[in-house]
Amino acid sequence: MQSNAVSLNDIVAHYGNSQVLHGLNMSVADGELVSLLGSSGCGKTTTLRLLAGFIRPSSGSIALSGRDVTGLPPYRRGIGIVFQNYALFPHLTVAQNVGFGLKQRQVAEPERGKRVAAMLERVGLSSFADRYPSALSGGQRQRVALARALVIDPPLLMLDEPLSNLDAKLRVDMRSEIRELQRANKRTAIYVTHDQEEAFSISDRVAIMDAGRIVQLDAPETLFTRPVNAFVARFVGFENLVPMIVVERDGDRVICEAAGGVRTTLSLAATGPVGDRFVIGARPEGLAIGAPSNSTIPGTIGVRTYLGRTYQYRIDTPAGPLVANGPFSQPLQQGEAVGIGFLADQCCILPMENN
Amino acid sequence: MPSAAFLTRIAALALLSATAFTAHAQDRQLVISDWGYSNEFLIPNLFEPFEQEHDVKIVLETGNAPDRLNRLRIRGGVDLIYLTDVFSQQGIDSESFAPIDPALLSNFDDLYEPAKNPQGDYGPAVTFGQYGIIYDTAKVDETITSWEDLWRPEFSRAIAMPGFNTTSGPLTVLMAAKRVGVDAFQDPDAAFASMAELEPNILKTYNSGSELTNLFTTGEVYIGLVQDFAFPAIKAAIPTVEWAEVSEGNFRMMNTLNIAARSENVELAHAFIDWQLSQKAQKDGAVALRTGPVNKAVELSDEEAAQVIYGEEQVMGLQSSPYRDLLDNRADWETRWNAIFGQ
Amino acid sequence: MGADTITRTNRVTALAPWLLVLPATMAVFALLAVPVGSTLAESFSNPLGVFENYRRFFASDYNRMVVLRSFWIAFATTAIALAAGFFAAYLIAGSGPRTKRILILLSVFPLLTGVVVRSFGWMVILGRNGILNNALIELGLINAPLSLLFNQGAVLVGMVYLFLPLMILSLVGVLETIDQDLYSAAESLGSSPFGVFRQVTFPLALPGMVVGSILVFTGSLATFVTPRLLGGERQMTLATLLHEKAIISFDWEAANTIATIMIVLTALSLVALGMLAKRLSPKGRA
Repeated sequence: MQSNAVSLNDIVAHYGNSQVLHGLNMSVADGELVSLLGSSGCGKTTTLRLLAGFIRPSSGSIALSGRDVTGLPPYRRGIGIVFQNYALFPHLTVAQNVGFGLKQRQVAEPERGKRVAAMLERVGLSSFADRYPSALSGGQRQRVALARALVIDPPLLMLDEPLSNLDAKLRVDMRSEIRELQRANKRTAIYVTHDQEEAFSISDRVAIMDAGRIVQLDAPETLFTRPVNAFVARFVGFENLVPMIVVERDGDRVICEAAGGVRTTLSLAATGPVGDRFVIGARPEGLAIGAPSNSTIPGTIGVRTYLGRTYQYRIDTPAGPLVANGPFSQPLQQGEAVGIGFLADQCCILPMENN
Repeated sequence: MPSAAFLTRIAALALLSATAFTAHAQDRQLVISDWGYSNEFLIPNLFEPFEQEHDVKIVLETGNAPDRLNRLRIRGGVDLIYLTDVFSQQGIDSESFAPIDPALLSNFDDLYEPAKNPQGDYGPAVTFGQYGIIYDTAKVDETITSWEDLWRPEFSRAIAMPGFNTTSGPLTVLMAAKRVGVDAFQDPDAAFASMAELEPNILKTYNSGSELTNLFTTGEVYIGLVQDFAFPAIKAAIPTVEWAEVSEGNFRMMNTLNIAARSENVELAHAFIDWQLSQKAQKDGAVALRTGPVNKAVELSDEEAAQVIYGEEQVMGLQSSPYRDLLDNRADWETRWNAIFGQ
Repeated sequence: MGADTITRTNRVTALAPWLLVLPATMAVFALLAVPVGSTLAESFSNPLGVFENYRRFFASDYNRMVVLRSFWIAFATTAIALAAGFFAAYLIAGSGPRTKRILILLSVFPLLTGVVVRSFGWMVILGRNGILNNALIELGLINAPLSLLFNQGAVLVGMVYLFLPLMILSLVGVLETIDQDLYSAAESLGSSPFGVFRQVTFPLALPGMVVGSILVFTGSLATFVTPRLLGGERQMTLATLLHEKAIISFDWEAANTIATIMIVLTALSLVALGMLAKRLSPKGRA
């Protein structure tokens, strides 16, 4: 096995009697930043705590740099962690906080002081060395937490929703800083968040998690354009999911039938032969609203919402409700009859699922 | 708003009840201070007959000795006071009592000699008691026949004795002195050295009869140095408890009855003392309360006599308690005592 | 309504708060300040000299030993309660909500009974025919019952039992305010569990430990029932000596002197412990 920086193999975890992780498999390469993305309860924090050693898996193994650490307690794994609430020691100064990990590793004074000072310099907090955490702002505390985790030169850096307590502007600034610091040292990092934009903007790969499983682990672009199932599709913005069946093929042009007997023509190569069932996914901007025709899905305009540069319409069709955007310049009225077409290059094809 | 007539009626009622109260207060009252230990018996048998005979209301004040003596001294309002001889001596010393006129006591001549004027012209002794050794015969193989047996090594932590500030506490010192052949007042060093040798056998000192009863019944001790009034309760709980027949004899304790110097009912008080000294009262006390009668004319059955100090021989066979000397040496002895038992 | 009425009303309104407080103030004054004050005053009014009573008191070896013993018992009680209490509080603070509630109830339960019953209970347990001795004999560990009462050990056991709930509550209070993440952070940074205790738990729990210690120390200095019931004459403390002088010997001079000494010693202890608290409190709180 090549030495991936992090390797989770068939991890099963329980909390009390309920199972919270179902056979998790994941590897992170050296220097990669992988985000664990999902809503609360999906298991991302559990995965982080497992990696850290705060909880033990019921079965499966964890390896760091090729070394099996499944049985090791947290204080022997050497992972740098930035906690959601920063977890700064209130009775120690900033410098003492940052130097804590070094102290545990018996790094003696002159050396320790130097390394702490260097790290404080890197995060721009040199003048705060003798302050106590209670005298710092949220953003400053965040940076101390980061410095404390980095100064020990850990093989793996883990961040648990580190920006959720900051205001929007600070969040954007800080996430770039974190990405910079991580890149500069080619430090392997795992980043836990529920914020899709945050995850996509800084990660090399993103693991979308749901109900204790990793649903899809890919680069952000891949997730964005080629979700692997309906869950991920909805997660990345494909609001319209319409189940269809292929009725006729004519080269590029495929005639498909959706619920309610409506037929539409799609120019899609990526569909199967006649009889193939699939689900097509489209973002609101991936649908074209036009006049009713044979090759489009007929519908009636419902509620109209103003989004700034576009209008968004809820359209009732026999195939179900659809959400589509239309230009600001041509507002449509409620009740108007329209035909909805799919902009093929903006849509995705998903397998039919039994749910 | 109530009518004037109504108000007048209320006022009249109030006035009448007030007069009723004051009229009541004018009934004669005799305030007697005693321990309270045996009042359940004494009220119907000693106090109420006197109340009826002399048309007087007896008001009882109870508590422990130092308490009651001080109340009499400082606050007054007490006519008669029962005390052990040690404490009545203190009362005499502080001039709190009025002298007794034996001529007013019809029963005076019937008293045993030691009871007549034990402390000068003041109150007579009204009961005899003893201070001695009791022990659980079931737990002791070799019978105890002398005060010196208390020093036996096998009695380690088995004895409870009265604390220094009780009536009988210091008496133990006298026996300790006798054991090493000295007079405790002449040679306190030797006396207390002997006490120090007793220390390992003492589990605890106690200040009240109930405390000792507790120590016996819970099995904490099986030997006690005790005054006889506490004996019945312990015997009832542990039937194998008996008095030790010691060769040196037990100590004679006397309860005295004195009249307060500030009493305004001196004549009535004398009448009560006489009643207390009467054959009837003395016999009642002996039978029910196990107090030794001071009246020679009292006759007890063998069974009754076995429970108390009775008869010339027994009365004279007890050692007297030199409470005068004890009082004089109190401060010094207390320091010595604390050095041994306060550790 | 003339100007006079207005000023009168104003004056009454201004006085009203003081008038409302007056009954309670007078009660406190009459029932607390006056008796305590007169006790203090009495102890200083020996005709032979202002400090004569105190000179006489401290001249006695026995009395000095009683003072030292009182301090020693208070100190030992506090130390034992700290150790045992910390252990218990640590368990409680780390328990799930239901277990925590049950454990706290159990810890505080003794407070529901009076101090006399609680001390008496130990007499039942430690007596020669008591539960402990019977159990030891039953188990064949000893042949004859041990004399466990009326010594300093019994007093300490009773005292610790008396004050443990206070200490546990103080410690649980402070331990619960410690963010659990701090323990995780320390461990992730390489600290062993004992290191976490030494570097995180202990320093942050210090304020609670001091509060608990103050409560237990000053309380133990003044406790009467426990040394009286479980110690006897051999374990005389200031409180029991006071009782002895006041109620049994009726030596009011000595009693007043002892009372004043106890007040002063307790006040001094409070001040000293308070200063210690300040020195030891962590500067920052997150």
